[in-house]
Amino acid sequence: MRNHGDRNDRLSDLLAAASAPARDHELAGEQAAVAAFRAARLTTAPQRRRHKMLTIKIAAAAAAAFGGIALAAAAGALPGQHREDPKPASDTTAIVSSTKATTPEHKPDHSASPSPSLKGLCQAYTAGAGSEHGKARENPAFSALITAAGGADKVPAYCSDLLADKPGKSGDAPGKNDTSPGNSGEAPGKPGAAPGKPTHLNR
Amino acid sequence: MRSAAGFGDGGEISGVAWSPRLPSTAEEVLTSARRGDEDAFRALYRDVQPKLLRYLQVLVGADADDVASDAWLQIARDLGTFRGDLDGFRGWATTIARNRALDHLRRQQRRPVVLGTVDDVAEPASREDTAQSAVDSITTDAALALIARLPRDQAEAVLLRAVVGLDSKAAAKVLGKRPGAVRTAAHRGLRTLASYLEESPPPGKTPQE
Repeated sequence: MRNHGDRNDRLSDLLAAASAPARDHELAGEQAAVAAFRAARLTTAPQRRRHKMLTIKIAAAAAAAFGGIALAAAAGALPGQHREDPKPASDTTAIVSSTKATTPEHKPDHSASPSPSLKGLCQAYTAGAGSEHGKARENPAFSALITAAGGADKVPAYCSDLLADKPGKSGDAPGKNDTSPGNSGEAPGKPGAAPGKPTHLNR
Repeated sequence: MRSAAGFGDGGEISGVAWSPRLPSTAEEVLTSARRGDEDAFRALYRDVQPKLLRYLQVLVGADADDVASDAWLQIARDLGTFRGDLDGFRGWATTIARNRALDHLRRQQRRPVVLGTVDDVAEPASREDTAQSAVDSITTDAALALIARLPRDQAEAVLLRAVVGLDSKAAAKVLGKRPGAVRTAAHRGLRTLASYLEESPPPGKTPQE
């Protein structure tokens, strides 16, 4: 039987061996980890921008609603998109009639609030133009824009004029069809949810 | 037996040094990495990865490399959201690695490795080397293989303290236990390891029957 000092020495040696300096093969994944780190840096920035963009859209839609557009009523039809008559013309009519209940006319230069909101809608509309343009046009959120432009076919020209005053934002709009304010709450919230559940730690 | 073996109440054992800590400048490395500095991230990787890998080796055996890779993907992705010091980072990273390991084990529907599997990933020459070596040159893999024989709670407690370098409180956080429970488990683990060593001379030889 060994003495206790020997026993402790051996235990110390064992722990020292278990925590010995790194061996080369243990660091074999370094490049992959750094690549993941780099990729994570690259993707977080655009995500934040997109989030910001969506926030602008939400703000725009909200402003439009308060600007006299009956967006609240229309918003009920947003998620399902099960509108009976998706033609822009009918949207325009519906909105114009409800608009008249509160404000006689809806022009960008008529009051202070519609102007920035219409810019926001234009940005959203332009962003959606690349992909599913027609679908974006159906979105009731754009009714205000169509109304202001004087018709769905005049929206592009109207928006280019409007955005020409203050360029910059329209350029970096994502090409996704995320123009519906009803969807906007979902996507940006996800990246924060960590699958590894370290949430209780420092987060 | 316990006192004679030199165990303290805290699960410590006289003459046994836990893993050393990085100097305080390491905090600057962490800060830089959080801001996106790749070299700083590299430094963190080199500090933490061997610890994580050895811990994972005992938890999932030969799949440790894959699980560690998964863990680093998440660490790289979420580092920007981490708040805390370097010790906190080690604990945070270990928690991620452990969760990935437990996910892996659930997927595999099998129990944690208890014996032998560590040898699968050991360097080919190591066993021969250790067989003829003296007390002071037990290999890392042989040591991990011995720790892997412990009941899992003891093995984890010993590894988190001795290999990862966490204190009892941080280890308890990783394991979702109270610090006292971790101290007890670490203490029992060390005592059991000592008895393994007694029953299986020469030292360094893998403890297979």
